[in-house]
Amino acid sequence: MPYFLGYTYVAVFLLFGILIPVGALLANRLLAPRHPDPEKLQAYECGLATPSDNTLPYNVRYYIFALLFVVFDVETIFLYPWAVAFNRLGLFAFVEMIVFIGILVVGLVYAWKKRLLEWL
Amino acid sequence: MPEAFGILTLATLGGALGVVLATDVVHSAYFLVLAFLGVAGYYFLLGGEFVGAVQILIYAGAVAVLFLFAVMLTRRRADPVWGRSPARWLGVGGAAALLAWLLLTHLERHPWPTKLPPPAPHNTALIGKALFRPFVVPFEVVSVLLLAALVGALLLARKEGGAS
Amino acid sequence: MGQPYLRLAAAALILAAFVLGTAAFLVWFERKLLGRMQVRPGPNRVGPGGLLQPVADILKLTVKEDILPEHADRPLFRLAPLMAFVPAFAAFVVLPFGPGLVSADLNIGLLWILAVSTVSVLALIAAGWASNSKYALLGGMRAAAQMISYEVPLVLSLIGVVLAAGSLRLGRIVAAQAHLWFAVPQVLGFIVYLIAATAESNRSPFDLPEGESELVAGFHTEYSGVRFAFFFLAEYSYVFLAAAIATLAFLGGWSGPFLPPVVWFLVKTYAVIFFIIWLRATLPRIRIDQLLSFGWKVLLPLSLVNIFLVGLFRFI
Repeated sequence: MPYFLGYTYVAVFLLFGILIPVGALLANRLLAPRHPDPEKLQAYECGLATPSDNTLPYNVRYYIFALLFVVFDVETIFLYPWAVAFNRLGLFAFVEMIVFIGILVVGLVYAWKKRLLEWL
Repeated sequence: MPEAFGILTLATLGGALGVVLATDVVHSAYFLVLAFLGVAGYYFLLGGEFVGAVQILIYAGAVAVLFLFAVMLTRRRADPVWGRSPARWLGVGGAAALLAWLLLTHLERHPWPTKLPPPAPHNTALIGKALFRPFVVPFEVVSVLLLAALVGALLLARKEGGAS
Repeated sequence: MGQPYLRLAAAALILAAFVLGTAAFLVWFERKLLGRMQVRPGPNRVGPGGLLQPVADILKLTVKEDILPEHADRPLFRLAPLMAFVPAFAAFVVLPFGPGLVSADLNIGLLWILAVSTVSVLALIAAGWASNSKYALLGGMRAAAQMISYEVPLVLSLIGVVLAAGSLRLGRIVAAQAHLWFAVPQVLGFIVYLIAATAESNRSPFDLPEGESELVAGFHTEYSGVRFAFFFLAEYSYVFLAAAIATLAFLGGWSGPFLPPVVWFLVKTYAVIFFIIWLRATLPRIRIDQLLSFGWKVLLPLSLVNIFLVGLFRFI
């Protein structure tokens, strides 16, 4: 399949992906009742009055996991071209990749040892 | 092709403008995702499909999540949103004008290719080969850089987490 | 000139129908199976064997009131279901159902699915943040943390497959398994993939983001009507995609004797889906600390070991 034809398909699918929910929402607008009242519009709360700022401060751990994720995601991206070209690259590239991963595993071990991989 | 370019430019510039003009930082983050996706579209249009997919995976999928977590960590929903003081307008506008001037004067001097080479079918494999032949030293340096970034960021996050 | 455009429109329409139909069928399939496994009949009122139950559900959701909770972040609240559905649908464009039976056979097919599906993490965060509800926020954040933690082993477990096939094109990956399914030499990668994919689609035993006993319904607590339906559709689309990738990357894709390739592809995919539902009927939910440390301390190292082994065996 020619390169640009493939991506024309992608573009059309993206368009369809948007049109389906938009169509359904239009149908909903035409068919559904609309009777808002203050009680109904309140955010769910179990038996209590809903506070207006109904959010919580949350754990720093989320951020730490996101940091770890970004670094390892970048690593996996380097692995893809390596894996595709593997048969043409030979032993040198294999060893280079082991060194590359090894250095990053040091980071993982660091996080592990500092007990950052635990949810506290 | 020009139509696709036009749509992508609208998405990218619209997203970028949204980042600056939105009064809610979370909205800014989502506008940034739109700009990221627009840039990914440019890569696909230029025949760099691997780079385009990576742009989506890393920027829209990972960096944006990091931004959102950071924003939500430091801000609660009821906090007042950013003001639009004249000083802010002036500062942002001035910086943008300066950057635009620098880019435009430089772009004029550079001879840009006007014709694209046809997209290579083994795009990804070519990148793999390039990584291990001419660019093997930078490639290994990248891993050290990533390690430094990881350790540094974890150290900072831990300090801030301990303090609060 | 008319021919390619006709094929394009047909492909988009057929796949749209397929995605919606599959999601509806999966809802019935899961409820029926869970019912059977728990010694009860499951849905059995609408249509033969309750088969039309999801259709009734969809019709009902379409005519339900669309509620926007007060103090919600309106634009984000409205956009979140779209952000969840569009990438799920776009991922199907590269899915081959048989030799040549694919809408767009991209060179980077496998990476395309992985890349667009990461975008739905943003939808879950948006839904959680915009709802102005602590349950939704907690559910959204948990879902995001879980998905990013299992994204890494998921992607790494597929590197071994790419390495052995030498291509990211899904058709090539299937062709490379003509003699031996990758699930056999790469059994470690297969196991890591199955676990990570189950966690990635937020399913039991990794369904913490929606643990109804603590978080009501997680990120979609405040959603109703059509918007809720699209979160649901996206979720089931991802279940199908996860099973389809398992089939294509590890179970030889559409290859098999006697039956037509499409049938083999669907049979294998539904076998994987059956397994995922079976897990839900069998295992209790795990805790978030267990979940995260399992992902980073067990699955991630195991997936690296898998890549090392696959690479090593290439040289022997």
